Amino acid sequence: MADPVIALDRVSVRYATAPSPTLRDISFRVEPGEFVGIVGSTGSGKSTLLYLLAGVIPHYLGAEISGDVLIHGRRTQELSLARISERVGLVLQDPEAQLFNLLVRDELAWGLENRGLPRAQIASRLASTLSFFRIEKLQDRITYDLSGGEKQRVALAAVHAIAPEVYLFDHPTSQLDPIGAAEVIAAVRRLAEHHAHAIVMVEDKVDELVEHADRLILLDGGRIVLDAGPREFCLRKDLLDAAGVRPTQMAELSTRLIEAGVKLAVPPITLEEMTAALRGLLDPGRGETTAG
Amino acid sequence: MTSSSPAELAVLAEGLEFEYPAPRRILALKGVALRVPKGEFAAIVGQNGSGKTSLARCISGYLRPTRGTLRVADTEVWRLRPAQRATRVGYVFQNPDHQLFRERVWDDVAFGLQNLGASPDQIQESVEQVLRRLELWDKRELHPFQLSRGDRQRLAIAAIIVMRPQILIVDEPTTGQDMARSREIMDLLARLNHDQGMTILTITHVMELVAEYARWVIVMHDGRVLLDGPPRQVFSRVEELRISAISPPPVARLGLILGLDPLPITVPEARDAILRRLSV
Ligand SMILES: Nc1ncnc2c1ncn2[C@@H]1O[C@H](COP(=O)(O)OP(=O)(O)OP(=O)(O)O)[C@@H](O)[C@H]1O
Ligand SMILES: Nc1ncnc2c1ncn2[C@@H]1O[C@H](COP(=O)(O)OP(=O)(O)OP(=O)(O)O)[C@@H](O)[C@H]1O
Ligand SMILES: [Mg+2]
Ligand SMILES: [Mg+2]
Repeated sequence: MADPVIALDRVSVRYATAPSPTLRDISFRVEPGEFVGIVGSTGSGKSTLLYLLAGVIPHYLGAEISGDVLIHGRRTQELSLARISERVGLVLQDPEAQLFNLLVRDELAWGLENRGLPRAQIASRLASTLSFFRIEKLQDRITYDLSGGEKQRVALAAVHAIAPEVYLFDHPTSQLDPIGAAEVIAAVRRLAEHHAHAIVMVEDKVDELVEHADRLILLDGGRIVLDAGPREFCLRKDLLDAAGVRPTQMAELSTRLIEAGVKLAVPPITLEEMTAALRGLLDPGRGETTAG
Repeated sequence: MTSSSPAELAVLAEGLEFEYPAPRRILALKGVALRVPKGEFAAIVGQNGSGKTSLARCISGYLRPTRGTLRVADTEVWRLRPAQRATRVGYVFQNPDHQLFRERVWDDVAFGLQNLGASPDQIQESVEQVLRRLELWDKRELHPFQLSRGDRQRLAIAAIIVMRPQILIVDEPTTGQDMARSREIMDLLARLNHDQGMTILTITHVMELVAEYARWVIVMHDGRVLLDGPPRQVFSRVEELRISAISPPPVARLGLILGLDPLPITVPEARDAILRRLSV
């Protein structure tokens, strides 16, 4: 097995100004090529966790850290922010906080220029990023008068352009239209699968995460209360309820149907599974062939 | 819906165009036709860049239409002075940080009433009422930037509804909120709609909330209204939705696949529809 890109071992974080820790006793690993979703209600510590992985804590935001945060085996506390950002790309929750170039084109190019990439390579990288996020038409626009979703696409594209080994996404699709959001999450899956990038994504669209993430981590009050594959995650209704998070709509529907006495041997959690299961019940002969 | 006379309409648009001025010259609205009756609870949905925010800014009088007709509460709103406008239509920005600019939560809410020339007693009473209603009373002395994003979003709504506009437009009010907070915000809008008859226009990308709360859905596509109707009807128009980058909630997609009629759009409706099918 490959070495983990990210390894946290019993980490707690207390902001300098806060009376008590925001993250408590956090342990998890992310391997290259893995896509991990982070879910939790507001204030549960999701952004704080990403700041910790990106080195923003403690290098930029003052905080007391106990335990080790390792990126490729090196403690982030001992690396400079510049060194960390060579490998780790963070997309902030609020795109406006991230965009600081006047033109979209420059916003995408500056990270590459900083890394001293040759012009031809910058141009080809730019072209592929623009089409990846469907923003070819925006390249000559001024960043501050784009629509909300357009700004978010540009912020995502700017980080994608530099192709970091580790992507940290904070609500990357919060202002995207529904099909755009689904496309971005599916595309992130491909970044992990085909290019072995490690992905940590804070996202409240559990329906999409369940389709594409390898694991989902549930944060509640600064603790990891569940770290599981999509199916097990959706079925831990007790923990989800306590944390104020819902599973997929199909998992909710499964629960209601089972309560009403419908026989669903394996509770479906995705649309595909639900369709197959119900076709089996509604029309048994056909259902078997569809499900099989 | 088409039969309402202008006086019963909150919004009437015909051939409405809006172009962001030179040097950019971007035609954001390319002929919007829309009629929203007073007292409606409507959701505006559509692709990024399709013109939702631009339409909201025109309806709220911040932008003057370039061509075509736009009447809001039977007036041409952009002609009104801000104080006259504020009691007719209120607009809550897509990003609350663009709207909050006072030093204290309390002052941000009082600001609009001060401009309307309300008396100090009236201001005191209305601000307290609204802050309590939005669960911000305990935070009234804080600086807005000390609030969480969710609290700032509710504060932005408080600062507008305190002026009791007839029409309230909220631009993506649940962005960055968890499901529980999102429902709180939508419940608040539903109460304003129900108790005060306030016409609500909410822009959103969250189709589950549209299914649960909106009585009318307006689908924007490339600067025009492509389609409008009740959620159940709109969510069955697969082709138009696809080109508008909308996907119906998963339970509605399930209903379409299984041919459930009427189309379920919420989890309880889907359960009932399936139980009915299984028992026959
Ligand atoms: N710079 C800071 N100093 C002190 N406390 C902070 C700071 N930033 C966040 N907190 C506190 O830490 C807790 C977790 O905040 P965080 O932003 O990580 O939550 P979150 O899960 O990302 O929430 P949301 O879903 O609303 O974005 C909150 O109680 C917050 O008030
Ligand atoms: N201030 C501005 N100056 C110039 N063009 C603008 C400005 N604001 C928006 N636009 C452009 O007008 C079009 C419509 O934008 P608008 O903000 O109305 O879209 P939207 O439907 O609200 O999108 P989103 O879902 O991303 O918020 C887009 O092409 C956008 O780039
Ligand atoms: Mg956050
Ligand atoms: Mg918008």
